[in-house]
Amino acid sequence: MPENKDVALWVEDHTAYLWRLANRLVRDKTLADELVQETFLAALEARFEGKSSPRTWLASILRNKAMDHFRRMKAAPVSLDDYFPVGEHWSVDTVPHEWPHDTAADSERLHRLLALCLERLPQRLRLLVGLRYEGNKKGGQICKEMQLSTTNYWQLMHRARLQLRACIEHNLQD
Amino acid sequence: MMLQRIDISCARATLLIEKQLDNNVTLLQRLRLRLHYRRCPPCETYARQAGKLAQLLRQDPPADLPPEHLKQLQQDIKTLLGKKEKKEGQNL
Repeated sequence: MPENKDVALWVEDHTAYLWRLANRLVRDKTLADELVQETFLAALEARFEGKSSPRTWLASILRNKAMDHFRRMKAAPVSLDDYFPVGEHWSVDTVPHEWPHDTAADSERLHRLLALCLERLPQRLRLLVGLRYEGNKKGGQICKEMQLSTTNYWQLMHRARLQLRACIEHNLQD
Repeated sequence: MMLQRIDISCARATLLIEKQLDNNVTLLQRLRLRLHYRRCPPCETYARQAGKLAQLLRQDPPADLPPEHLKQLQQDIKTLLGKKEKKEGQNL
């Protein structure tokens, strides 16, 4: 077990880093706060063997906490009918259009909308996207860590991407 | 007619596009997608945009923590840790 005074020092040195990581994973400031708190509480009880830096070690605790959180969340039904209502094809309302992408302002707008639309994803999908892209992992790894079947994983990522894309396009039109 | 029969649906195509982003499609599936794009340009647009989103998500800079929020959070954590230590002390 790490000495309590070490953990107190770590709070000084690593809280900002851990919070940024947490927020990248969950895109929810309150939940990010909670995850960082849980991480330090767990650190107090765990054994730090000094095989990696304290920061790396704390980050791995945090990732595990985020995954626990994912596993506890209820799955919302995955339905594709919103996007492909007739014969599994796009409808007039959902069919993708080209996005303007010529100017720096266009790409800045896209960045901003992505952040906004990520926040609007259901929490479980948002967390899945966060875990997928934060460490840039492949699907197979994530399935193992999150105890998801591969079919289920692809369904969820598919759904998340459809929703993100639609949200961005919807807001581009305003 | 023949093309119509072997063509995949857009729901299926966008799922394959998702797998393709992870390099998780077979050669046959890739061909199916290419064939589908010929009949369905919107799905090709979708594929481009999906790739763009993946690229943005990888480079997306994390939001910053305002200094006052950081201070408060550190204070909260220290209080939590202190409480826990005290409780454990009592149990001994």
